[in-house]
Amino acid sequence: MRYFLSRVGQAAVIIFGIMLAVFVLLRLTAGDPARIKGQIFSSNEVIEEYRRQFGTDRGIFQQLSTFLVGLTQGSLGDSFRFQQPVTDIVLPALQNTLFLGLSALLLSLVFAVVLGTLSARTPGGWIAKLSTGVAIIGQSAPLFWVGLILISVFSVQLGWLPSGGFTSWNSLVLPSLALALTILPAQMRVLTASVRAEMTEDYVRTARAFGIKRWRIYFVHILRNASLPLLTVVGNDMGILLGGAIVAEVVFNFPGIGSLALTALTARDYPLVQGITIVAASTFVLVNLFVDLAYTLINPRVRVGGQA
Amino acid sequence: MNRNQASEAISSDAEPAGDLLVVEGLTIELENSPGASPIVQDMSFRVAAGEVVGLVGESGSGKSLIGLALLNLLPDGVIITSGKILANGLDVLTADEETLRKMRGATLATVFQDPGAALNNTRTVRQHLAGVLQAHGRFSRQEVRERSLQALNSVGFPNPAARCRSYPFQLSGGLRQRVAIAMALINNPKVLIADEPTTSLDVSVQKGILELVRRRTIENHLGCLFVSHDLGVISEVADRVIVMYAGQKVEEGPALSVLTRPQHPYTVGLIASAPTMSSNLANPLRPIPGTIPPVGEAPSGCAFQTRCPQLTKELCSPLDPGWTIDPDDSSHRWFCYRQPKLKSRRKES
Amino acid sequence: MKQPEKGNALLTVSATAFALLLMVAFVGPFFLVDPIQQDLRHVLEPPLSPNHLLGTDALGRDVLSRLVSGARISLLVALVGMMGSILLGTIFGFTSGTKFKPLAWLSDRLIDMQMAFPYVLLAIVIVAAVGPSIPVLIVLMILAGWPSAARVTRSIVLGERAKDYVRAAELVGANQLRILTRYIGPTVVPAILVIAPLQAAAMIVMEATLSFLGLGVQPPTPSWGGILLEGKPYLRDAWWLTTLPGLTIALTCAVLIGLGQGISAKLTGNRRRRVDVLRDPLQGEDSGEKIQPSQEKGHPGRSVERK
Repeated sequence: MRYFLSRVGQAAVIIFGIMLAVFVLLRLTAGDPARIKGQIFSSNEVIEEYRRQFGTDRGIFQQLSTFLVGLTQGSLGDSFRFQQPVTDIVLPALQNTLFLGLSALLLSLVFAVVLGTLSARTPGGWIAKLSTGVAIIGQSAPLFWVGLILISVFSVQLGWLPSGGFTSWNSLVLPSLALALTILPAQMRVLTASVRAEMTEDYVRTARAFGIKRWRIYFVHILRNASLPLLTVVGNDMGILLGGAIVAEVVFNFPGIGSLALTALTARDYPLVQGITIVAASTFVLVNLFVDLAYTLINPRVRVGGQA
Repeated sequence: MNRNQASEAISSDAEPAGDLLVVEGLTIELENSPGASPIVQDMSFRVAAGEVVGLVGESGSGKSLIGLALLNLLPDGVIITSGKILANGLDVLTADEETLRKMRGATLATVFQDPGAALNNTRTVRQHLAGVLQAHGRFSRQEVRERSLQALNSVGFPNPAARCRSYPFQLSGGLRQRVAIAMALINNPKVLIADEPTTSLDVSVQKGILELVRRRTIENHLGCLFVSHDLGVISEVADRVIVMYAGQKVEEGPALSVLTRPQHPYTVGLIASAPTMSSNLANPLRPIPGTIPPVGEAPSGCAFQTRCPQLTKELCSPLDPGWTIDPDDSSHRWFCYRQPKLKSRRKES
Repeated sequence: MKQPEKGNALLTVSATAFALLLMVAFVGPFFLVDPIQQDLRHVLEPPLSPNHLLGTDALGRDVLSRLVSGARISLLVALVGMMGSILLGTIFGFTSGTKFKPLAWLSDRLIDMQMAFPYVLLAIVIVAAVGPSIPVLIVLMILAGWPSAARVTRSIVLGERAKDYVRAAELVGANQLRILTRYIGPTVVPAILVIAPLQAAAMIVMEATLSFLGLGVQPPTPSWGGILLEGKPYLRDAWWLTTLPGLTIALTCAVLIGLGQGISAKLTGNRRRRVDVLRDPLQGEDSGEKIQPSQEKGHPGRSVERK
């Protein structure tokens, strides 16, 4: 319990730190948004008016405190470009991205478990070779390229699946597939290695000596013990998925926070960039927290606190 | 083998009443090593109900593989090339996989050497017992619970109701081994194979486990094969003793006879080399000179010929002795030309 | 046994391939058509057209030349990034292994925190702040890549530290720095050699991704990611503008990964472990000696009768 609270506390601190860092970084280094909005020939008064609108006429600390106050009321400021509260723009996009990320994760896990365990059981067989091949592709081929190829083949040539946007569940297929490919190699490797290691453990032989059915041994004993290292990898994958989602969204024109971030970037829309970064980073921290806690739940040693 | 054939096998091969485990001519070899000597050579023995048969031998004697062979669970690369194994009448070597599976843990149970490794650390004691039960029948949760508690009680596991939810890593070695024994006994097996169950335990804990094994064997009318390299352990637990060397049986007989009046030079050396309370500089340890031949390189005939201190050209030709039987006790015999030292201790010529 | 031989073959092949690649990248431009030269009469020509082995892009520029000159930048950036991240990572890895607790703790925190944080996000923020450029790109890549090198180093350092030879050195009075460099260092070096190519592969992908997003190398400087970005609008009509650069990237990465595996096989192949078939399962230790299917007949008269 204490561990739980301390981790939550840590997460909160980290999120707050990120918020501050992003805020300060952007306000201090970025160009003046008022000048960008206003034309080159605008008079000073117009610029000043914009400044007042954006709140950039005040000092950095005042801006920070305004921001923080707004934060307690659930506001992340207003977007320059869209003239709307940042939260209204970011949250729907976040939801889409989460959908994408989650489906990619599930897809990858399914493949990893199936391919990984089959490879472990027949180490030299065609499945193992296939898995290695897939792993190499996943590691070498950049995500955006895989995405482009997928669009090329399945969308343009074959016309089976939509190439972009989020119009239906079909739209999730290609991007999830591309994303899944980025995390699949690591998961497969870990799973194959763990399953193979577990297969030679004494308790497996004991289980067979007690007449336990093979599939039971497999699912209950081997997979269970192999899932711990897998969970660690999955924890890592969260970050990769988040970064990958950004890229995938650009390639597939998927309306998530990734494409939103780039739009905001090109438009020099700092509140939006800031809001997206904060939201994305916080999601990342929270997801990692969740995975850590899940790990303690599954691993009885950590939970019960016995001798390791 | 289908059900009918199996029951035929049982009735036609029915052994003289009481022999729960029959092993005849068991030979275990390395799979891809032509020309290498077998790991276990022509091994035969029987275990009757209610008796503990101790199998003694040092590392490399092949004794550990026998336990696995009885379950037909030899590791890759090791195969049984001949012999017959009957467990409670069932032919182990010709049975199909499903029949074997049903037999393991139910008719033929094993206790392994290292309970820490043999138990799964992500499952509780309860779950282990339940797993073994449910592999061999359908039981309600109530029944599972009752039988588990009963099994734990029968092995002297303290406070089972509360502690059955513990994980193996929370228990001491002795307790873990008791859990392992409970798992072995929960399905009321006929044959129990105990493979060095006390080797990884403290001496103080050993005694309890040995008593437990003996008691359970007698009360449940089990046939128990107890494998160990430790003479002290064997002397405490076994009714009959079989001594193995380099894959061969070299001596067998009632425990008292073999241990107090050993006849085969190897057994003699083994007993003489055991440290005693009076071992000291004046009374040093007397190891057997030489080392056991590496697996696959044992000489044919008498395997001990390379180290035997009593080897003589006159007596030991050819190097393939045959069995000498103790005139005082026909169940005590050894694979050597040496005649028994008579009880009157007259020096033998 | 085949393993070490296979490792060597892999090593030779991938090392050769990589060397070739480097040569092409740095020497190639002298032999090829000018990559910046636009030729609006030959726009969007497919591969295998006359004069243009890999076709032309929307401005009539030769794709092959662009790829080769893009290789220069991409490889350079990737290699610098790799070296920087490994350097930084190794330093932090060692720092985490010192006995000086606060330093080690801080180092650990930094490594764990940064691990897996999506670099794209970081890139967006930093580029929003200071604008895109090659130095920024390199810094970003180093920031993204150092944790994995650090982790590898750290685990080795911590692992070795627990071993007896290090303890012995400490007892004799060797100071921390000496221990780290003279004793543990040599164990770290092989591991670094193995991960270096893998890290380089990751860097190439990173650079390509960032350039593709517009956050990396800016046009008109050619880079693989940039070429892909330019080719994206023509996905339907001119597939070669996207497929070929991507293929180049993928192949380069595959070569690098192969190099890494080859080095790894070569380094571990020296410690061959004979298959110990008769590892006595119930003793938990080797029963007697390891098996050598021996040809010698040994004692006279020995024969094995199989029934």
